[in-house]
Amino acid sequence: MKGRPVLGIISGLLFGLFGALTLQQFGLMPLTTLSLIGFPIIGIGIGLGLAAAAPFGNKTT
Amino acid sequence: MRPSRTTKLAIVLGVLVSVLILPATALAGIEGGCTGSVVIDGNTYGPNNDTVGDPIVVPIDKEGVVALWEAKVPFDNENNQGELGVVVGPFTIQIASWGDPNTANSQGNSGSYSIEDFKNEFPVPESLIPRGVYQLSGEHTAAGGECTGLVMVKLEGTGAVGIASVVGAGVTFITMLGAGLRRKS
Repeated sequence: MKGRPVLGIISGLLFGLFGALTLQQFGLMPLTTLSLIGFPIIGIGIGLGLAAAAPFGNKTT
Repeated sequence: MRPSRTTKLAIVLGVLVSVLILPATALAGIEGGCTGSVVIDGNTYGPNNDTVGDPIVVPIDKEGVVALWEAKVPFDNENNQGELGVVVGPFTIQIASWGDPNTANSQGNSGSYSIEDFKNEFPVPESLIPRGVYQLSGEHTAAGGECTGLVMVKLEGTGAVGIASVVGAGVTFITMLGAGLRRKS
């Protein structure tokens, strides 16, 4: 991994949880299994994907 | 030509938005032949209020609101029992239950419930009561049959929990983008 996978997992998990809570709080989606468990899993996937691709930052050292 | 950082960021945002904004699906309403309704703040609601787009709205910021409810079952209602719960992910948290020998076999009931009493159930100030939409699941069984149902309830208004969740989502999103920063080697 060229990026930061641990940061991606933790922040992706929390982003999924906060995202589910935000959608629920603003009346867009209740706390279903999809939102409460699915969103954090998707968040972890995105975080890991970002860590793997590492699209940001300088490519030269 | 390699995509710019802005293009990469736009792709990441596009994926996130398309994943998070999912269409709401209709639920099952009430099955088993039971009927019921509730009047809140002049609006009448029933079993069809089972979607995010058409929920039972509870104006929690208003003072003195009373919910007037009535319910009927189409079967022998002796030895009845039931429960009501809030769906939270894969779990259902029970918030009410009832049971009655009902030897008179009454098949209907009605009453009123003060929203102020509901707010007093929370051990926090009113601004900290979580708003938003909740899926309520309930069942009622008796000697002659049973009913199950799902409705959607919306506690209207924006509270501190909603604001905190937006801040949390924003901070964790930016942190998550940090995972895509290339490490120096």
